[in-house]
Amino acid sequence: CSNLIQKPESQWTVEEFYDRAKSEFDNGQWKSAIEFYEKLKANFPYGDYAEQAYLELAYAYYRYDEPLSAIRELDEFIRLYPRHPQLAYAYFLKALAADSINRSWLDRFITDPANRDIQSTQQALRAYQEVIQRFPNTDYAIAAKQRIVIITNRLARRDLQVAQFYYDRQAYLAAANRAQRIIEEYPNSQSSRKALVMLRKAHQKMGLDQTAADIQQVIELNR
Amino acid sequence: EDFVISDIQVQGTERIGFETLNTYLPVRVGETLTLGLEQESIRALFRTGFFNDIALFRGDNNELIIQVVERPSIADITIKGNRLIKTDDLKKALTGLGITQGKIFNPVEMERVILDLRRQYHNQGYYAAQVQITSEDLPRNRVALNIDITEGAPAAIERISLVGNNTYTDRRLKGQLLLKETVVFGSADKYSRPKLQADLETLRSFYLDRGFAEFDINSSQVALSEDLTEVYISVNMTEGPQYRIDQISFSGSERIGEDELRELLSLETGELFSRSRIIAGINAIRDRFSDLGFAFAEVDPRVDLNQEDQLASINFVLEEGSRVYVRQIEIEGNTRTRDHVLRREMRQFERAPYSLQAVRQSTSRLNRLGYFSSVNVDTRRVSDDEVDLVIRVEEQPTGSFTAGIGFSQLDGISFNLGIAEKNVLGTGNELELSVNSSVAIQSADLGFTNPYFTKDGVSLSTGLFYSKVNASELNITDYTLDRIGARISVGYPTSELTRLNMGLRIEEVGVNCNTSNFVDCNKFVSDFGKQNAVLSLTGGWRYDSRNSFFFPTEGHRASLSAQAAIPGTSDVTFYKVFLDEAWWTPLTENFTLKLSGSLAFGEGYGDLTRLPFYERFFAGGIGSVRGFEPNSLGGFYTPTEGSNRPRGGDARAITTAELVFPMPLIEDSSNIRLSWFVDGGNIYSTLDGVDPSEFRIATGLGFSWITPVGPLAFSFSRPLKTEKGDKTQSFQFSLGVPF
Amino acid sequence: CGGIKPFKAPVSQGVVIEQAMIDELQVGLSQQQVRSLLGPNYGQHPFRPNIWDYTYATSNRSLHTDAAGRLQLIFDDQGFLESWQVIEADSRKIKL
Repeated sequence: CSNLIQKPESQWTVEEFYDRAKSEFDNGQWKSAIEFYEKLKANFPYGDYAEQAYLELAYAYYRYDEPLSAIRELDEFIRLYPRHPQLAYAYFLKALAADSINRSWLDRFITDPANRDIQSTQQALRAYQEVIQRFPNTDYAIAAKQRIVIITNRLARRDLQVAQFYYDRQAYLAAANRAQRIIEEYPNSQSSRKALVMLRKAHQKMGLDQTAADIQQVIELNR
Repeated sequence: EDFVISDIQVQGTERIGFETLNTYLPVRVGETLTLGLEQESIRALFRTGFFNDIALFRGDNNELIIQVVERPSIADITIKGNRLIKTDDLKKALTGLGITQGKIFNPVEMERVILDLRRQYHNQGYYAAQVQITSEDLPRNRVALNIDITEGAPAAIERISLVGNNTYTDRRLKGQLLLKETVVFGSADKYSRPKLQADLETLRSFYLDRGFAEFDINSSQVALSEDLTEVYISVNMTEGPQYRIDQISFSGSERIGEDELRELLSLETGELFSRSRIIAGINAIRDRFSDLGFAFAEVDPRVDLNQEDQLASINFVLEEGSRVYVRQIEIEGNTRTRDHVLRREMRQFERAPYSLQAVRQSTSRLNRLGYFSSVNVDTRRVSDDEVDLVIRVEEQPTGSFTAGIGFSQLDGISFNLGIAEKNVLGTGNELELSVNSSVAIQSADLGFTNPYFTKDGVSLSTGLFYSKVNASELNITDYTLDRIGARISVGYPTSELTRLNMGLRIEEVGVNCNTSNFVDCNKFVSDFGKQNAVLSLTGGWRYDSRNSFFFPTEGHRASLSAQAAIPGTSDVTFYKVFLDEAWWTPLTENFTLKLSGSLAFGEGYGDLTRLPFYERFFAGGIGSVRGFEPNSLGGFYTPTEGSNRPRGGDARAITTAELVFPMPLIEDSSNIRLSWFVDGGNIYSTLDGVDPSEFRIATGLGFSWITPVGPLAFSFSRPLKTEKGDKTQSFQFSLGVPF
Repeated sequence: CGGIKPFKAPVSQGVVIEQAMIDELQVGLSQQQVRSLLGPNYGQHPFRPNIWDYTYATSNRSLHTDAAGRLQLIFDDQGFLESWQVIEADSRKIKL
């Protein structure tokens, strides 16, 4: 597409914009891919190319580690084309982007995402649940279910950490509440057993021995 | 007649994609197209504004064919003749109206755009402004828009006439207003509606704060001259009588005693009725209720005016509402700092009575951490007696990192690494590590502090340091020092704002007097030998109520710390005392006044009378007295004494007055500050020699910026009071030195 | 401004129940009525919703001196108040 270089961008047709953006996209040049997709959308906002540009631009933002921009583009796409055949992909990519906000390469070694920025984790959880609810029998739904297991474990782990924080400071009612939230909202998470034990210990410290005994029974029931 | 749609095809579209159109279509493939649905589809498609013409056909085998003629799209927009409102602002306003490059051109819209632009000009007082929009067809069904604006002159205020103000003169009232009849420079004489509204409000509070409880503005007219360039404003008001406060009474909740209520209200009988003082009193009472957990208490002033004696009695109805509890505390925006590092600063607990004071203390403690560029604790109502607290933070760089490989003829290849991180991996722990090595100098310093060694805030900080200087490599002639040592200290809070710390420091100092037989050095070595190990006690007390770590606008920080060698453990026994005091107060919303002073002094004891020559204090440069060369205050050794270094002294006194303000012209200047400062100070040989009249003083402009590499500061200064021989330096710069 | 003794931030937990509130309790009140009279039921038994334990504990007893330590309420199966009992009159002291 050598003639592209002579012609100033203002005269490019939509195909020319799209080809340039797509070639950048294909060899992973996310920054310039983003630039040309944005220009395509600005100059030809309504064509078929614009529809495709939204999705590829969002993916480019996601890979360029700008999840918030990706989510913005996908929300716009979902608003403009509620009946688009690729809607499932849009919802799933939105969930992936939300999931990546709190990601850090240190998480595999030392740090634990459970004690950071829980808001974006909850946003990711809601996004994955929306994928499953709207497109139940797609492989996006299957992938979403797996991620949901990991995220619910993270949310439960966080509540347990906060429960322990309050327990250490003799704020036993706060600890009990956090433990109970795990049992109610994330019953089958890895932390639910530890949550029951925390619930019992907190009630014992508050002098509610009968309640503590009842909780102990429940612990033994599902051992 | 109706038919079942087998497929939908669109003809005549150039720029509109099928999916875009499909979104607005009320019919789907497989539905039967009735006459009603057909009309509805056409109406729906017209409403999109994309098409000039729409027609529906039935294909041979029941496809629905939609034939459209697209409206042209806007290729580009040129705006001419605008001076007052910048082109970008106009373009932003147009985008708001859906008129941007690439969007569909709809001639009907142009009327609305013209009206909107003219309204913007009227608001700024440009009544004579005219706007024309012409469109020019371009190939490929596109159109170019030119918007020609003739702004005309802004309507200048010819006269402001006030009617009904008997108590205060026109001059006094007009002095309060933004709009002026004549003005030297600026645009205060240009009429604009928002300014007029603000002025009316200013007049109202001016009167209501001076006893005129029944003040009212009956009318305000704005008359224009024919040529729309002159404005005549007239404001008609009735002052009403001037009231003084008579009886103050309270009703409703008795939870707070009456004398405490009166004290909080701080209104006296006989005082002029003042709306702002009443509001201030009400807020004080409401805060007191919040402290007892009644966060939604209401205080409603019922004013009863006695017109003959011009007395106003106020009955404050106290609605305490129900006691409020905090259900849960959530933290948002902590992309790096861990949850417990924030939560441990909170003085408000979950599942506990709400306390406004606790929430305020928590907010200022979080601000003092210095990890965040912004912290706010929102109270989100969950039920009529429960709230959730949401701590919303924005992380910011909390450390400095410098690394480098250098080469200089003097000491050959050098390598240095400097890390200072106040919040390592978001754990709230502090780490300082600096290593540099070159042919001449090898030094390393490692410091680690855990502010919460125990959960109640007992801190532990430890450190190791080593430095060795090879003087001949650097052709330093007078003396060099080698140091190796370790320090450990424990600190704990003694109240909400004060801390006490104590610790030990063991250090071995090697003094090498070189060729130039530096008198002080030779004398020291002959008295105490080259190597001396010193074990000293360190201790300190600190008060800190600043409302933020980097750029506080309010608060107070005072500290007293001392370091003293333990007698018997070494011959080189000396002590040092540091007194620091800094005070910030907001002058206006943007301007903060900072006053600070510090006094440091030391003395030997036992065999040593004065501080060892290498332990003396120095001053000058950024961080002490700007405008003078680093460490230059207090004079220099004379060559006959075998060195040309600054002499230093056993006492240092520094004071600073600074007016701090954000960087103008930048919206987000949360981590940049400018300041106009006056620094003063000097070095004295002994404590009793300290005499402020000998202070060296300089004034100038300081600039400080928190960058990802570390705090950056530079200053331009001009000396005010110097003596002969002072070495001044007008531009100074520092990176990584916490200010 | 702080002596030598290490300072510990105050902790408080639970709901302040005053004698005046207890006097207004009557058999047959619905859970919603009890809730709006006494305040949020943070001490509800996790597995037996008809048992409510209102507790209050603090390290700073001077704040709400009159708060009850533990008030237990039992509701019948339809959720109406059956009985209540102040098990501990004084609030529990949190020793920091």
